[in-house]
Amino acid sequence: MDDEHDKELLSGLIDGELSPEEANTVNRHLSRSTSYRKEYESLLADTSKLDGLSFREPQDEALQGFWRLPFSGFARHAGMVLVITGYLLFFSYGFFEFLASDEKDFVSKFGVAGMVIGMLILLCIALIERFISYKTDPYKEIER
Amino acid sequence: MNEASAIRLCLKSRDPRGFEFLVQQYRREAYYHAIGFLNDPAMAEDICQESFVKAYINIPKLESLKAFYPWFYVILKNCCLSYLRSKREHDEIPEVIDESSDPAMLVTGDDSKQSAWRALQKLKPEFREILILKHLQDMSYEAISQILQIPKGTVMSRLYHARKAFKLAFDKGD
Repeated sequence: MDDEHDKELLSGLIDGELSPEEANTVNRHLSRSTSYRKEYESLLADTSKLDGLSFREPQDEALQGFWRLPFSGFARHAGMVLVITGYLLFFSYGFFEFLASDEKDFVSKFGVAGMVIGMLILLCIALIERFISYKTDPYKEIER
Repeated sequence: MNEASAIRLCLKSRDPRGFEFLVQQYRREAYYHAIGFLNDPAMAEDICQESFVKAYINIPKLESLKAFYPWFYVILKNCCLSYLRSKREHDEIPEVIDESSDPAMLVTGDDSKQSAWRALQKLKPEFREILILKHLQDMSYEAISQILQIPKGTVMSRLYHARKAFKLAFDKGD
C-alpha cells in the first residue's frame, strides 16, 4: 500500500475532501497497512503545524490605496499640459510684443531674451529627463 | 450591486463603479495572496495596485467573465512572479523569496507558527501558493481548483507534495 496516488488520497482524507467511496478505501487501507498509517500520522502532524496560522489584518489605508481611478491620473496630466501650453503661449506673445516694441533699449531686450531663452532651455531639459524616466519606469501603469 | 452586475457594468458600459465594487470585494484577498508570494507587505501593496490597474485596463477586452477573482488571480500571480524574477536577476539571490521580513509583522501566532511561516517561504511558489490557499485562506478543494484552474485531483496531489516539502523545510529550519 505505498502507491503514490493512495498516499495523495491521505491529503484528501485529512481535509475531509474525499468522496464516501474514496474515504472507505483509504480507511480500509489504514486499518490494514502499518506503513500507510505511519504516513497518515506523519502527514497529519505536519499539517497541524500550519493550522491556526493566519495573516495579520492590513491597515484600511493600505487597502484603500489599491485603487485610484486611472481617470484622475489622466485629468492631472491633461491639466498639466493645458497649464504649460497656456503659459508658453502667453509668455511667447509677451516676449514677441516686447521685442517688437519701438523702444531702443537693446540692453534690456537682450537681457530679457537671455532669461527667457535660458528658462526655455531648462524647461526642455526637465521635460526630456522626465520623459526618459517615464520610459524606464517599471511602475508607470500604477496610479501614484 | 453584486459581482455579476459589477462585471456586467465593466464589460458592457465600462463603468468604473463596477470595477470599484470588485476591488472592494477582493482587495483583502488579493493582498493576502500577494503577501504569500512576496513576503513583503509594502511590495504586496504595490503589486496589488499594479494588478488592479492591469485588470481595469484589460477587463473591457473580455467578451464574458463568470467570476472576477480567478481571472484577476492570474494577473496578480503573474505580477508577483515577474517581480520575483526581476528581483532575482537584479539581486542575484538564488532563493525565490526575500526571507528578511519579520514573520510577526505578517502572520499571527506563536513562535511555532512563525517558524511555519518561515518554512513556507522556503518552498517553491506553487507549493507555497497551495498551502496558503488551503491553510491561511481556509479554501475548499473546489475553490482552490477554480482559482488555480486545475482539477480537484491535482489540488489533492499538489497539496500532498507541498506538505511533504513543508515538512522538510520545517525540520531544516528547526
